[in-house]
Amino acid sequence: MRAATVVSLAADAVVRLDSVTKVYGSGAQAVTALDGVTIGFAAGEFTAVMGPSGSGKTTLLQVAAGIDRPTSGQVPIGDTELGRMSERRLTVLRRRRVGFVFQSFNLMGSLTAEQNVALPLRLDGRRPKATAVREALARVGLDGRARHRPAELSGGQQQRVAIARALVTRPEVVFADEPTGALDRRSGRAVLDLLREAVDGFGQTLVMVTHDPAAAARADRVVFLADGRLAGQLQRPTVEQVAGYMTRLGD
Amino acid sequence: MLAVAVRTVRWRLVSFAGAIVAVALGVSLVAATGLLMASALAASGAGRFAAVDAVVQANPAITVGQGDAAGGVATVSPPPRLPAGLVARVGAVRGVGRAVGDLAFPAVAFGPRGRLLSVPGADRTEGHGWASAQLTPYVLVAGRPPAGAGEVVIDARLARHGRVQVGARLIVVVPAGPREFRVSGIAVAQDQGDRTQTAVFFSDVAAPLLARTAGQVNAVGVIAAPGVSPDTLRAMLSAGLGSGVQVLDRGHAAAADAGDPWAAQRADLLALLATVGAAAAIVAIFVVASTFAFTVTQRRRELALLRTVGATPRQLRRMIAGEALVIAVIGGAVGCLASLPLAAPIAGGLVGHGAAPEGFHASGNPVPFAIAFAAGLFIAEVRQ
Repeated sequence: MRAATVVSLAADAVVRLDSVTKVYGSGAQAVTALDGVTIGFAAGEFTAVMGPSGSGKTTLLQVAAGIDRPTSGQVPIGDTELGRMSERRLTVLRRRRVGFVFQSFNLMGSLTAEQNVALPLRLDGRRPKATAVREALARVGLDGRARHRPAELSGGQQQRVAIARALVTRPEVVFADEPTGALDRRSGRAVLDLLREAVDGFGQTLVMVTHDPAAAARADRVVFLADGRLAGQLQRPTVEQVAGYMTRLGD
Repeated sequence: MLAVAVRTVRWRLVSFAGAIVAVALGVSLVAATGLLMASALAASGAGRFAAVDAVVQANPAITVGQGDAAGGVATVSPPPRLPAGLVARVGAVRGVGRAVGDLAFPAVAFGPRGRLLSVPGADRTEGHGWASAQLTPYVLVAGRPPAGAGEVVIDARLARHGRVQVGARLIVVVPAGPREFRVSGIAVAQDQGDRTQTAVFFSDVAAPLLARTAGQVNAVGVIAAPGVSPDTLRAMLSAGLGSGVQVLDRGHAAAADAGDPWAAQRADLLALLATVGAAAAIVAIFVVASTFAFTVTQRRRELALLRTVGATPRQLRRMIAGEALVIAVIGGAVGCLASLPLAAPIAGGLVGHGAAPEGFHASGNPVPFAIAFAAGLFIAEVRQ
């Protein structure tokens, strides 16, 4: 199954990767994490990226988000090519147009929940409006915990603060890397509910890397990666379909 | 980013405590040695010559060697005496109100039952001619000036501690030998600039004979004529007397008394203190640098998080510099406060080992604090 057969370049894609290859290291130690990947993420679409360990999921997300640069291929953002941007411009672009949620260690331990949520705005030199920050926390059901530090919050609550922070800048796209990976089932479901609601209620574009078929089944589309190449996709799949696909890839 | 840095330091106070302690220790040592250096560099003060506008002493710089080997300059302390005839020459210089030849010689006084007269805190008693009394000034509180070779006026402090009254008979050992004197009066110093010495005044005729310095004076105290400023006076004296003498202002007048107590030790002491201060600063730099390297490793994930959330490399550098600033300010303030109690035992140790003269103590000069604080900033920021 080849990449070309599964994903077409949507014209309204918010984020696109054109024949992106990413190689880590050089010479004999070189590892090809992405191998000619072409994919687009449409506005308002919730895409899950799945694949076995080492298939390039996280690399795909980091290149798409502008954290990492492709070795070859293009990642156009608007009318600018990401690979040619200075580190500073890339950072500014990231904080204005992209939101992030990671598996763990999402928050600054020294800052309260509301300070963490306001951080991307402050880094951008803006004076965050207290109401905007409170609103973002209210959206994730934590308006009562604004002045708590991460250590005083449960893992699920911390993850919800991270989602509030990712959404507070009203980014064009939110990238989530195993957002439920470190959570128990109930907290994980609550986090997925929030992500789903952001897509359905606010038209948020969302790309989520996961290895959990139950989490992936909440997405509009599941894209599979294997050995740095696209290995197929499913539209609105069930948990069983996803699990079955993964089993075949793992073989 | 400074706000984030402040919060981070507050939150991570324990891991930053090491750096703060290192900065505080470094700053306290730099400030303590700086305070002592400021003391060593400070002017000697007026000492016994509190009432003068200028003092003329022999030039203490002498050229060593002769012929081809000439050229080495040494400073003698106390400086050589001056010919007594110079007093009249000084008096003739324009701008001089009064010129007083000053003599100072060892004079050990014993009370009625052979008891040594001494005052706690004073390590010597000096004999002078009565004319020298006006240079401090010493003012009679009882009796009258010494008249004739057999009378003395003694320092009120000596009189009080020795329970000596006018009319008492004392044995005073002077360079000419032990002599018996009658106390004709008691004088009190109006200025306590130098509490380490007490005075016994002899008649102006007897003093040079007792001191065995006939025809010589130790120094010439000068009081300006009305309307002449001390600066003008000094310039006129220098111009009128030539290079054989040195003209000191009141702030340095004590050096012309028993000699500048610092002359021999100042350079060595400054070098010693500078070495200690610099070593402390360098050690502190290394300790702070390694503490920071350690915390940065611990915090790599936090910094990576900030990068992805949108902090530019420059913002991160500013944040870490901000943390260093917070640490430097706290550590610097603590260090400056700690330097005062630290300087006292260092001064005591230096005095105890003979590296500094008796009475050496830290000055209240604020400059070392500023320098040490700046050093703390440098220490904290340099590790970047």
